Amino acid sequence: MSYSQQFLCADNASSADWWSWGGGISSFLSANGWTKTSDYNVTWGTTAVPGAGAYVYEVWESNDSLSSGPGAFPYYMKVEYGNAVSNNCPMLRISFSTGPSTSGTLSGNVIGPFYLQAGNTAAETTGASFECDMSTDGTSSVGAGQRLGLLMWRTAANANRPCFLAVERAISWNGSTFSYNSNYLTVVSGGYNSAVAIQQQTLWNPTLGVSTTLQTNWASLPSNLSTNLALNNVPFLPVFPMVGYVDNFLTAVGTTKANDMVEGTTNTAVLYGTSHPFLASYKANWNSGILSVNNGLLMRID
Amino acid sequence: MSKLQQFLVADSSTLANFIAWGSAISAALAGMTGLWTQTNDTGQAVWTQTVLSISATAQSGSNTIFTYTLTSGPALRVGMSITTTNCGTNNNLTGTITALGSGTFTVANATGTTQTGLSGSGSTTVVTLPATGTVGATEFWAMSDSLASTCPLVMKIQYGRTAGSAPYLAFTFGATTNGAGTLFGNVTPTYSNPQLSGSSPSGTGSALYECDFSWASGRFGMLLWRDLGGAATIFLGIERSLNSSGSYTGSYVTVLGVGMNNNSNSSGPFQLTVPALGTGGPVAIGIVATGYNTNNCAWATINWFGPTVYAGSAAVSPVFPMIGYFDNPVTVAVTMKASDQAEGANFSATLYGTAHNYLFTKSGNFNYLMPSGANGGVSGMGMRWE
Repeated sequence: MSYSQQFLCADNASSADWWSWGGGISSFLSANGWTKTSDYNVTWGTTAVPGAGAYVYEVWESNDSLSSGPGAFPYYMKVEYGNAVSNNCPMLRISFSTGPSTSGTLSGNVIGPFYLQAGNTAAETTGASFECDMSTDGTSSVGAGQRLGLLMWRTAANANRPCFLAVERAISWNGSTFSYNSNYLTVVSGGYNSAVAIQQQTLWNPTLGVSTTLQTNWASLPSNLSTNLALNNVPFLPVFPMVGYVDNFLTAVGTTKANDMVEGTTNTAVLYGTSHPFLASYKANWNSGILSVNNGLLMRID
Repeated sequence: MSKLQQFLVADSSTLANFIAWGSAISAALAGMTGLWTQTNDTGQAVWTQTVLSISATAQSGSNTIFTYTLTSGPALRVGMSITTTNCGTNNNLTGTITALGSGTFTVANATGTTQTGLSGSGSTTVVTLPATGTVGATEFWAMSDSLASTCPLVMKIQYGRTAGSAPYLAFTFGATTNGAGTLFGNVTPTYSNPQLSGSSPSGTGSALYECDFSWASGRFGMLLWRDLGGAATIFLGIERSLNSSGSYTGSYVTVLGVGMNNNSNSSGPFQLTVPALGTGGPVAIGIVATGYNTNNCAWATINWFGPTVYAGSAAVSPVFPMIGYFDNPVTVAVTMKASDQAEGANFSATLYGTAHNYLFTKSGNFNYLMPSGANGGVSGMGMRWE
């Protein structure tokens, strides 16, 4: 398991700033067990800022124990890095597939793109850097693909700049033993694409089914109270895969009431019998979107 | 596990109708052996008069012990009010039964006398028709399952008549009572159906509507006037805490309600946790003040913003106790997207590795069990039906 907190630019006003944020994501994936396929068209430190409205991309492949061998379910993640039309703001969108890509075109079951940031918000200060949090199951020596969390530009000045993505394989749990299985992959996102975009979708193992339809919010637990605090505890509200039934909830992300957490703090939740640290955030792109209003997210950071 | 389906009036315009639906609920609870036991609190409702023949009395200190045989009506219960006549000097009274023996009952009566060869009689006092907008009868039922001593719960039920002469029901919960009609320990707010005053639904006369009861040790579900719909259909579900295997524990009791937003015409879902004594006070979520069509009231169940059917399977969402953390889900009720199931349908859902049967309703009150956002008003509920 790996967690990285970086401070990256949120503008494309210079090559250095462009390489800062794009390269930051790419470097994290590369250093923590994700396999970069041969299908990419960006080299950080070399590739210039794309033209207005254009993207470059990398395609990454899962590399965990469920990605090879009998019953394997490898999947592909296309990360597109772009430049907004008018203001040199970053654009970031991510798609997933069960088959490999050719010249950026994914094959098999495909879901996305999930627009984390469409760039259509006011520009950040050139050269300024903002907190970015990345977490995955892999390490430099252990392949990744079971889980990924990406929270970009949490501290950016622009209210709609922060964006979030969580990816996690299906979970098996018998009351005492936790493991991942190769049935499907759940993707949830919170970002901005002309408006707040909260999304959830399932990428099915192609041997089991086709992918589910995009949901316009997260399948989590609601509360109409201003706080869920009770008996000196604040509940972690899980996000559930929706696959024709309610399956075991994700560990990569949960939700909470905004009033119950302090932005940017680390909090602990016990899931499936194991304690994990979570980063709390209730920025505009999910505060006003997740479960309608006044909610925050908890991103796993171990 | 047991279930009971009855067809009851939804009307309090006459004493007969008031007794018809009130006594049916009371009788259903009385029949749930091993789950509910009526307490001995004084002042509780008597739906059917009990008539006795009294043959003797014995004075014991400041109490009079009456020897009787039952002429008609239900058995006596401690706490009942009884009136005796033709029982000899100082023994004709109206008092509260404080103890029962084999063919005897005891009433406090300091000046009573010992008598034999009596041709006396006794009778209990039955409920009367409440005035519009008032409560007419009260009962207290204590959970009496194997976890009752670990996590006691008493349910206070008030039966009444709304401004429009529709049934009025109110529920309050606590750990115990003082024997005289007052709850103690972790006492919750009172949740009632929205019909006592204001623009409430009216009674519907002699028409009969489906009322469903389902229970087992540790679990109770009651769905009243299901096919009347709108604001009139209400639900109450009660279930003990569960471990990860689905076995009951004594940590707390979860109470779920629908259609009980007090005097408002709101859909009125509420979720309540009553912890075991000494572990904290009641925790309530989900009740809102006003607005029948509110999109801001909820149970702790999964909100449906997207498609719920995949590969022919319609997702069923559990309801999770919320007690500072989310715990293992209850089985007494589940939610579904309204469009995924027909009103009144029976369906199966698997919880804790076991398939259970559920009865579905999606009448007006049940559309708002979750916050709705852009796709609001879409939920329905399954009550465990086995």
